[in-house]
Amino acid sequence: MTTESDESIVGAMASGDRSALARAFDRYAATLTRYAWALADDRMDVEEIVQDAFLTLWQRASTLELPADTMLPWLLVVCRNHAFNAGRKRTKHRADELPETLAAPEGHDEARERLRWVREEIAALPELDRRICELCLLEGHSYAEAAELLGLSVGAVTQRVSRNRRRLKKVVMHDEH
Amino acid sequence: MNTEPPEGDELQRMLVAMKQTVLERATPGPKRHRRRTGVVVGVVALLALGTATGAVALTLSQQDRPVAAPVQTQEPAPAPTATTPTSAPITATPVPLPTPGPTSLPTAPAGQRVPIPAPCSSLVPQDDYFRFFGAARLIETVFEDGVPRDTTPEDRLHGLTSPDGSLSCWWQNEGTAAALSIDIHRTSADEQVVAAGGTCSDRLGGRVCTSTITDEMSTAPQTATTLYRDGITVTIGQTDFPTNGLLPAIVGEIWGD
Repeated sequence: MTTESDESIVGAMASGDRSALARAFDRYAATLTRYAWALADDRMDVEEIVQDAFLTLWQRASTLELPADTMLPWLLVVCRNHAFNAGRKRTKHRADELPETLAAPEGHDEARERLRWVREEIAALPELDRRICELCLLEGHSYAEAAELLGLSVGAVTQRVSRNRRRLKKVVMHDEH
Repeated sequence: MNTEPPEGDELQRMLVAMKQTVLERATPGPKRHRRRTGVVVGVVALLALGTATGAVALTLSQQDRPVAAPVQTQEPAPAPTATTPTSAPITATPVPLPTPGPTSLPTAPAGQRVPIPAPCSSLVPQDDYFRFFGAARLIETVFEDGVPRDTTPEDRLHGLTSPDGSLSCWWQNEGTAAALSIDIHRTSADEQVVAAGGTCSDRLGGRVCTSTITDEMSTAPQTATTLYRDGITVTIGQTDFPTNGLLPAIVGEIWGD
């Protein structure tokens, strides 16, 4: 049986096909929920973060360029950003005013801990590929920053990230079924 | 959370509830033609961001049907109290002009790149935030090179200055169709095709175009207001979310007018 590629799903979403969003949800919601579980303070926040991540995917489908055929890392980044935004909003409400500074980016160890529910899949990747994923997904670097840190071109990083994402997807999907 | 994430039936119940909510909130947008590259696509996408949230509906030339407003959400938990500003829509004041054809857009002086404020709370004076957005829930995303990222302290200090940086803000009054989106990205001359849509006038230092539609799936008219100025496009999409002076406020924060 041929598995529908993520690129195909994104393309369908860009055409306004909500069933494609449902398929993306079925494919990655469990993974994002596990990730969000480590990010959020309570179950309600987890639900909100995961829902917002998929709504962002729906909104951005027409311009989302997958390096290969998986959207999981992109979703994880979106998920993390929504979680951080939610945290800032709570801080803002507590102080009843806008914060003077934004929350400091989390450290490597904290980011790794927050990815603990999908860490095993990433850890199974080859060294360099894993490092790229760590830079992009665990430490919050952009692809360009990862390229600079590793002495690679952005294109090379994109290709490697794509391969890693395919592997990660297989593992995650295997976990979910 | 320090507890283990749910598994088994508990996880499935959680996923089912979330999926229902996501699909209800993902309002049908206009069918969009995906392209690999191109600034025009970026505009369509950013506008589509608004349409997908139910806040924007533009009759872009290549789009074949309007969008619908978001359906009522059924969040598992009680929705937070939201306040809808009661002032007039921002679209009430544009001076209608004969439908213009594509013309040159206002562009920034060579070598000058106007920063895009970030985060979304920086788009209006702090004292005016509640007046414009009330207690509506905000979802915001910064995109850099097409990749979403978190806002940084540098964003607040210097704004988004990269060529591909863009800001997407979406305020939603939970449990209602009321929504407001603001999308800001850089504009190139290619976008004048898009700029031709709607009713346009020259004001606020640039060109302001407005479209308002009601389709069969909408519970309220949907209005999109787009300002093109100095290489930046600001799009405000509103569905039952009236504001008064929002675009001038944003212009003031970006350009200091």
